[in-house]
Amino acid sequence: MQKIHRAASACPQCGFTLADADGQFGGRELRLRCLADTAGLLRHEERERVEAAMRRFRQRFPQLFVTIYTGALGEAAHLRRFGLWLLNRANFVDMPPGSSNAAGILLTIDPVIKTAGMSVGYLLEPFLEETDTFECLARAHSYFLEGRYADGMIKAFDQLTWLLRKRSQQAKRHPRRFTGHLPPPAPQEVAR
Amino acid sequence: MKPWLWLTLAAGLAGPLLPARDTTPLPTLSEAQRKTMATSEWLAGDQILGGSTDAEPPPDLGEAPPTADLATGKTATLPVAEKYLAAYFDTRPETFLIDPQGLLDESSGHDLLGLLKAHSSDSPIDLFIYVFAKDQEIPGEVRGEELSERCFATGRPALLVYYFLGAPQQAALYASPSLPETIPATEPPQALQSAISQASQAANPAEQLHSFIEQLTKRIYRMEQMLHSIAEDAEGSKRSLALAAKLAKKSSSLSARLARLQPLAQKLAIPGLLLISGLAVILGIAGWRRRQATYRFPELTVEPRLGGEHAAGVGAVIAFASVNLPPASQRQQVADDSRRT
Repeated sequence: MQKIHRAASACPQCGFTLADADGQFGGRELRLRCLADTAGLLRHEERERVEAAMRRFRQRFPQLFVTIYTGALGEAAHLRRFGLWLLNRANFVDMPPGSSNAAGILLTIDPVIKTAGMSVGYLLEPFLEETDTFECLARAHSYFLEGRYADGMIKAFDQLTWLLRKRSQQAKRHPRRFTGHLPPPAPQEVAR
Repeated sequence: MKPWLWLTLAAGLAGPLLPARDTTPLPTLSEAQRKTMATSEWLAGDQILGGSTDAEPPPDLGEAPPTADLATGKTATLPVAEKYLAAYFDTRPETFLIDPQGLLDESSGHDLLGLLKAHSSDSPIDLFIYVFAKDQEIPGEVRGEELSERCFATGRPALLVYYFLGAPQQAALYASPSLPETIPATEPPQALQSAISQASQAANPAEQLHSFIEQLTKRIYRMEQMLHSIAEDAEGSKRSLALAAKLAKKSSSLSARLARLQPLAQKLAIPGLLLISGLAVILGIAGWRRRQATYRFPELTVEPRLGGEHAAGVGAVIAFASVNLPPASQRQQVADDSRRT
């Protein structure tokens, strides 16, 4: 299995870069609110509940924030790329100035192809595995299946909160465990 | 006396004194005729008119025969001969059929005795039959109640019956003092009446006595049943009383134990309450602090990849299109161009 180096500019298998995503979704900066329900999945009351859950999350993890995007994207691979692209290109207008998207966690839902994805910024990358984000989505799966999107979002954030609290405590007790999370840069890969 | 009777009597007395005006003259008999009639046949008015004076005196019949008591309809009675009194009334009889006069024939006596013995073996209440003749009278000095108290005060409970052969309606029943008092007082007389009624339907005196005894034994069996039910009730109430006493004892022992613990409980009540309150407060504060707690992560340096300034696509995707595609089957994420491998 080939590993992408920390400083790799493109995927060593397919050569994918953010520029490819820019070509697909647009290269300019996108101004969004943290809860961008472009698909119109949430009613007013549900929207308030979800926003309250997002606020609670921010209170508990002052460094982090969660964002939600709902909309039709085409296919699952696009959803994954879209998450990467949105975290890099979006400007969340309801975030305090100076906030970095590297501290963001994006939950993307495509109601047409009925797929959900979760992407995290660089800040959480050492502390979260792909399986962790999968567990959060799995917790929301049954609610999404029934069309109860608000409940599914809140459940996913609850699971994420529980997980991050645990990881925060672990990082506090064993900081070295997470510093070696990513492999050290290899000179030849950096050169590539 | 009524006026017409007075008048009749007065006329009768005055009649000879008054001159006969229109009367039929009495027949006049010659001496020869008188003798002939006296020897041949009864002469009306001979005695009154003072005819013959050599009439024979009435024969001596000895003791007057029993005569019927017109008031009660009973035949006149003779007392039981003195020589049998001891056999009847002196001691508690050793057999259930007391017939010292031999009023019953041998086979009947044997059958009835067998019946009484069989009853005695089955029943806790014995039955003694004193057999008298129909026209016999029990001497006044012998009283059934006295006999039962004197001879049947001890031993098994018993019923005594004075039975007059051929006259079951004259039978008298006495209960021994040892008969349980729990049997209602009305029961023995009712049993006697029932037996008399049954005996009256038979014609033969021996058969009457047989029916009498059979019916009486049935009624005695009924008395036994009543005794059993009473005993069972008493036993049940005894048992419930014992149970209640046991429970009371248990509860009293529990209450005694609680009473012993009460001073200790009073001593520990305030510290215990304080401890529990303290724990509740601590738990509440811990919960509140946990809810209010904030968590931070060390900001580790992560080199940007794929040209991304803030993120490089670490994340999972899940499909919720069908219930047939559960999360468990999607755990292995499909590698694509943005996946870190």
